[in-house]
Amino acid sequence: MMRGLVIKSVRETWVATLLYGVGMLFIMAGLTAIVPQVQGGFEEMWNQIPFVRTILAAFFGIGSDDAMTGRLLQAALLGHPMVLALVWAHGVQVCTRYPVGEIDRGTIDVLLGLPVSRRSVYFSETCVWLIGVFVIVVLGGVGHIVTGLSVPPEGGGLGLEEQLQILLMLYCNGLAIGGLAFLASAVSDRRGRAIAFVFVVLVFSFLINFVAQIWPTFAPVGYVSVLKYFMPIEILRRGSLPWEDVAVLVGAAVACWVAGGEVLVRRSIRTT
Amino acid sequence: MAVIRAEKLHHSYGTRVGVAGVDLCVESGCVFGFLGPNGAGKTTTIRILLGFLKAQGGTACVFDRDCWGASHVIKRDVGYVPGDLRLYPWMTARNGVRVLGAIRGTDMQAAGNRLCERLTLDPDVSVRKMSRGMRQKLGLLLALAARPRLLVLDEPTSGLDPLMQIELAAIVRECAEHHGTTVFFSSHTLSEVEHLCDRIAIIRAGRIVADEPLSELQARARRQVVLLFGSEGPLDADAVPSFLNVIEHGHHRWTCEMTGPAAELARWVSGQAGIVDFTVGPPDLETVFRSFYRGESEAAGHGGVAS
Repeated sequence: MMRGLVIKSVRETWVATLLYGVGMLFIMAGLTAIVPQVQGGFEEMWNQIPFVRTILAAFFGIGSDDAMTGRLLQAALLGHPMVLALVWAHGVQVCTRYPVGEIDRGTIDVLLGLPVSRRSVYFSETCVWLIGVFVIVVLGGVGHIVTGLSVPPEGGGLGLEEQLQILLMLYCNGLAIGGLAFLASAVSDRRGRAIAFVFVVLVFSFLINFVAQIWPTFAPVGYVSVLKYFMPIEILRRGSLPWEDVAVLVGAAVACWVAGGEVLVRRSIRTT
Repeated sequence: MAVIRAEKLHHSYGTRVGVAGVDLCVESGCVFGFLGPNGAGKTTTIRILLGFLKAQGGTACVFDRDCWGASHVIKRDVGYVPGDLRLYPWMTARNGVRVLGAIRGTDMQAAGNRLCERLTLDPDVSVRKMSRGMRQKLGLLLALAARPRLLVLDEPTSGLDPLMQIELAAIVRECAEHHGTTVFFSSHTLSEVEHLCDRIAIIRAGRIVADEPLSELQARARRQVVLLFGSEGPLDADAVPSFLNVIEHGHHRWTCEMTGPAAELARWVSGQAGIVDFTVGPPDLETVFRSFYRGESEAAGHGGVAS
């Protein structure tokens, strides 16, 4: 049964996942390739223009005490908005397929008219999504690592362990958004509404994180932003993986996913 | 043994009533017609029976299992064609049978091939290239190929041409007679079910207003009787028995409506020397059916009914 459900999900998502993955590969490769080109200019601006420090702090969490090295720039670019946008878009697209996407396109009757429990479909969709995010992050990592080796920044780039830690954090960030999308999908009757809900949460999260970084008054509420728990530069500062951030991201993902599953098995499914 | 049993089912959509106190009992091997006008509650009943909707009141069991709690177990033996059928755009008859077979854990290939031929369906055309009728055929194929013990067909003939409707009726009959399949056939037109079903339930404004064998409905239905008189002319009107109601008085021909068995008429006619010939039409179920539908406008005035 699960095999059949997974076959169906893979059939419907593999092209999108592949496109996201290839997109991630090229974006990571491109961002990594431009680091040596812009490094000098960045260092100059970083040292001379305070406004640049503020903006970079807001976007990438780079502190004013941090030295603008090639490693730092590489780490910051791994958390570039384009990278996050790809992981999030994939999560929103795949995780709102069931049940709300099936309700929206009217195929839920055929799917749940089969001898499958709602939970088993939810589980199979989750498996396919988890593998999909993994593929995207791995392809992104390949783009970053391969390009970093061929075009290394001045003073050397990130070590392999640091790169893997940042990619793991990126994966966990994708899990949190996917879990939220599953929850939105489970409670909604229209896919557009579910996507809009996740989008609003992301924009709000982005804004909170931005404001909290540059405006100390808002710093205490920064913890509600999902971006607070994905700071690649934090890994460089600490020299180790921030496990508490991993725990928050995975915890949020699991909590939302479980809540979504529980809502799903209890709700009536209406198509009219 | 009852395959479907529902008692006092109730479900509302906000202020709109979907079903209100529906009682149903469908015996094994029966072809059960579930009739009602649009929005009467047919689809709501089916969606409760298949575990899509949780009944807000009453109980519903299929194969003696609770329709909500054991829905996925029940559906191992159920083939379902939804009223508003939407299929996956990538699906063809061939890969649909393969994927759904994998989900069901059964090999539907041979039955799928046979049904493809019977329904004249190209196995390699995808849903995105299919007409509405072809999509309907594919939906039927996918429901039938699993050889279910219970077939739930919600207005299955929509989009099918007349020839294919006849073929579908033949397939449904075969399923019931040769494989003992129980068929729950929902429709809003009587002509679809009157030659197919053993028993008919009529739902109106969320309530069952009739549930009886087709033979009983037929016995209750009026038939048109034409009496032809010889040169002596017609009978005295007082001589006409109570089961005949004369509608048209001609000099040599009367048109009447009859309720009750035809044998009684034959006995009476044999004693009437003036009658040279008579014809008896089929039972007019349409009139009975319409009488059950009457009052729908009043029901709609009380908040309407969701389908």
